[in-house]
Amino acid sequence: MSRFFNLLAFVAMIGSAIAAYSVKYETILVTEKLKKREGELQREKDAITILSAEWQLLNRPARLQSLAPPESGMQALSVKQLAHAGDVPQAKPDAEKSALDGLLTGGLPEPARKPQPNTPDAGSPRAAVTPASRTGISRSSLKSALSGPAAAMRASGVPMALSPQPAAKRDAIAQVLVTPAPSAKAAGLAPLRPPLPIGPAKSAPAPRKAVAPQ
Amino acid sequence: MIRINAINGTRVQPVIARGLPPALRLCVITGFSGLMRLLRAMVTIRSEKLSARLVLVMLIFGGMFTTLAGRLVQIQVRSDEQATIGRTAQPAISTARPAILDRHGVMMASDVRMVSVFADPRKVLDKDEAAELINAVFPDLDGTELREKLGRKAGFVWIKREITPRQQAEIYRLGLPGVGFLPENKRVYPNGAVGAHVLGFANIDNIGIAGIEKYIDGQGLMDVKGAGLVLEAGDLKPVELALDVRVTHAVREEVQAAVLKYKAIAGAALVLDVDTGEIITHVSLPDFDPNNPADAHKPEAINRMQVGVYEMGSTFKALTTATALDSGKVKLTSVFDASQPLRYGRFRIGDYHGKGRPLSVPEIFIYSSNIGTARMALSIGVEGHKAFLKKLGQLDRLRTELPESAEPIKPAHWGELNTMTISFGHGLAVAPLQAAMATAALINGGRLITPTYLKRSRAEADKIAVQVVKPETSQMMRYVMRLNVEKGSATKADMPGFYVGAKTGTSEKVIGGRYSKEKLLTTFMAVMPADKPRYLLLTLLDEPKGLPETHGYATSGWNAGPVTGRIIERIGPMLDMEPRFEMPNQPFPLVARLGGMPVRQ
Repeated sequence: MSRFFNLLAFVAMIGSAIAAYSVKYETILVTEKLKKREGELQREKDAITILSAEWQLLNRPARLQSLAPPESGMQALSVKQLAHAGDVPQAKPDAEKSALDGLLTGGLPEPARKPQPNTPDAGSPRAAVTPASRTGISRSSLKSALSGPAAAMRASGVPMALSPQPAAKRDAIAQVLVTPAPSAKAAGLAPLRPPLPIGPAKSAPAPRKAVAPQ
Repeated sequence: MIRINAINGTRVQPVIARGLPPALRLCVITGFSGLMRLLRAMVTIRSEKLSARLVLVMLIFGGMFTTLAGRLVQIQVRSDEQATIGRTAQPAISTARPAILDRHGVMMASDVRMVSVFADPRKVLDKDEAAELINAVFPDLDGTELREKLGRKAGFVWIKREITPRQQAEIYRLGLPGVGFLPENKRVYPNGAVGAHVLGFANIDNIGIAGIEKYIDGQGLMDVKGAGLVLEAGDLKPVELALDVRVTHAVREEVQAAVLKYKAIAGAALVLDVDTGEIITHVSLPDFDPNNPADAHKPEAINRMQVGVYEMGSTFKALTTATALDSGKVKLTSVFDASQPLRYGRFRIGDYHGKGRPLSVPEIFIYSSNIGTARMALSIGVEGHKAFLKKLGQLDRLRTELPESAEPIKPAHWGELNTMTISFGHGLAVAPLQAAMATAALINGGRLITPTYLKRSRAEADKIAVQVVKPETSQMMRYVMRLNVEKGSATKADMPGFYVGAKTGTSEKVIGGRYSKEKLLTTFMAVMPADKPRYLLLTLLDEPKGLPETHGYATSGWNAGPVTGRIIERIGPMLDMEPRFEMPNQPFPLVARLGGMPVRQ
C-alpha cells in the first residue's frame, strides 16, 4: 500500500517538475517574442517620428518657396487675383478645343451651353460691361467675354442691372462698375452711410483685373 | 505492529519512525532515556575519542560556512556598485519631450531617437587600445580626454552622444568589451528659425533651456523624470501652439526683406488674434536656429517682442486717445490747440509735421500731433492717465508662457511732464507685446486679454477678459485708426479689400542719455478689418535708414507702414480673410450717429 503511494508521489513529483519546467520555458519563449515585438513596435514608432520630422523638414515653407522660384513662372498671390467663383465670366465653349478634347479623351463633345440667365454664375455682368481701358483686359478677351452667356443674356433681353440674383449685392457691383467714377451713391450704400470723412472714394472697389478667359 | 525481519531476525524500526529526523527517530526507537544519552554524547567532547582527522574536517567546513555567511552579509550591506547599466545611465539619458505642433497641427518640434555610445571603464580591458580604436571612428574626439575618461573609476561615461548609424556599426564591429550603445531622444526643429523665439530650445540632455520648451519643463515634466520614470514621446500629449507656421514664415520673410532694404539693425513683427489673445505670428530678427542653439545666446538675438523694452512712439497715442475718449471728458469733436509748441519749464514739445492750427481729436490722431496728444493727456490729469495705463497693463511686467520677459521702464517720479511725453510714447519703455495687448483691447470692444502662445478658444479668452474701455470707445478708436489709413500718416499700409486701420509710431532712440535725431525706432500697429476686427499686426524696425525712394524719411509711415501693408496682402488670404471690395455697410454706426468729424486737409 505504502509503496504504491510512494510510487504515486514520485510519479506526481516528476510530472509536476516536467510541467513546471515546460511552462517556465514556454513563458521565457513568449516573453522573448513579446520583447522582440515590442522592439519592432518601438523601431516602427521611431521610424514614424523620424519620417514625420523629415516630412516637415521637406515641407517647411522656406523650402517649398525655394521650389517655386519666379523664374519658373510662379509668383506670390496678389489680392487682386482673388475673386468669387461667381465673378468669373463663363468662357464660350471653344469648338476647336472641345473637338481636340474629344479626340484626346475619346469622349463626346460637350453640347453647346445654353444661356441660363437665372443661375448666379451665368456670366458676370461686371466683366462684360467693364470698359476695357479700366480693367486692362484686352479687346479680344473682352470680346470673348461678351460672346459668352452674358452676351446671350443681353440678346435675350434680360437687363443687366436687374440680373435677378443675388439681387442687392450684384446690383451694387454692376452699378459701381458701370459708373466711371464710383461714388458713395453709386455704390448703393448712400442711404445707409453717414456723411463720414471715410469716403469710399478711396476704399471703394479699386478696379480689379477681371479674370478674362484666355 | 512489530514485524520480525525474515532475513536477519532483527527488530526493524516501526513504520511511523521512517521519514523522521534521525534524532527523533532514535527517540522513537530507544525511548526518552536513549535521547538523553545521545544529547549527552553530543555536548561532551571526549578529546581522547576525537580523532585529528575529524577536527580537520570540522575546521574546513566551519571555515567554508563562515566565508559564505560573510559574503552574504557583505553583498547585503555594501552599496549597489555593480548595478545594471540601465540604472547607472538613467539620469544621464536625455528624457522624452512632448511634440510641439502649430495651430493647424504642423510639427514644430519633435523627438527623434538617436544612439549614443557609452563605456563602463571597469570592464574595458585594454584602455589604451580601446581609446585608440574609438578615436579612429570619431576623429573629432580628443584622444587624451578619451583616455582619461576610460581610466576613471566610474561605472558609466559617455563617449559620444548622438552618433550616426554608420558610426554605430563601426563601433559595434570593434567588439570592445565594456563599450555599448543607448538609445536617446534628440530634439529636432524641422522649420528651422521659424518661430525660434517662441519655441526656445532644448539642450543635449533634452532639457528645455528657453521659450516654450522651458515652459513645458515647468509644467511637471522634470518632476516626472525626477521620479525615475523614463517616458516615451508617445506617452506625452503634444503641446499645441497658437502660432501658424506658414503665416510666420511669410511674415518673417517680409520683415527680413525690410531689414535689408531699410538697413535696419533689427526687425520684429507680431500678429495677434484680438478676440482670443492668441499670438499667430511672432517674428524677431535677428533670430537663431533652435537646431543650433549656440546663436541663441548672442545679445542681438533677443526676443524683441517680450524681452526688449522700447519707447513705442506715436502708437502710444492710441492709448492716450482712448483714455481721453473713455473718460468722457473728451469727445471726438473736442478741439485742442496745436498751433504753438507746448512749453513746460525748459522743455518744448513740437510736432513733426505741425499743422499750426487747433485740431480735433481725429485730426490729432491722424496727423500724429504730439502737442494735441499731450494736451489731451493733461485734460484727464496725471493720475487718470497713470491709472488708465496701469489698467491696460503697461506699468507691470507682462507674463506669458515664455519665461523671458522684461519689466517696463517707468519714470522714477511721474509728473506732468512725464504724462505729456508718455502720452505720445516717450518716457515709458514697454515690451512691444505689451503695447500690442493694450491696443488689441482698445479695438476689440474694450476687452483686455493676456496674450498667449498656446492655443486658446474664444470661450477661454472670454473668461479671462477684463473690460477696460467701453465698447463705444473701442469703436471710436477703430474709426480713427481707419481714418488714419485713409487720410493720415498710415496711407501706405492701405491694402484694398482688408479695410485696414492703423497707427504709425516713430520714436527717437536714447543714445548716450539724449534723444537721437538719426537713430529711430519705427513701429506700426494695424488692425484688420477695422469694422470687425480680427487681427492686430505690429511691425517694428530698429534704426531704419532713409532711402531715396522714401525721400530720405525714416519715419514709420515710410518703412514699417508699407511693410505691414505687404504683410497684410500676403497673410490675409492665409488667415482665411476674404478681401471685400464692397465698402462695409456702416462700419462705425456709433461714430456715424455722432455725425462724424470733419477733417480738414
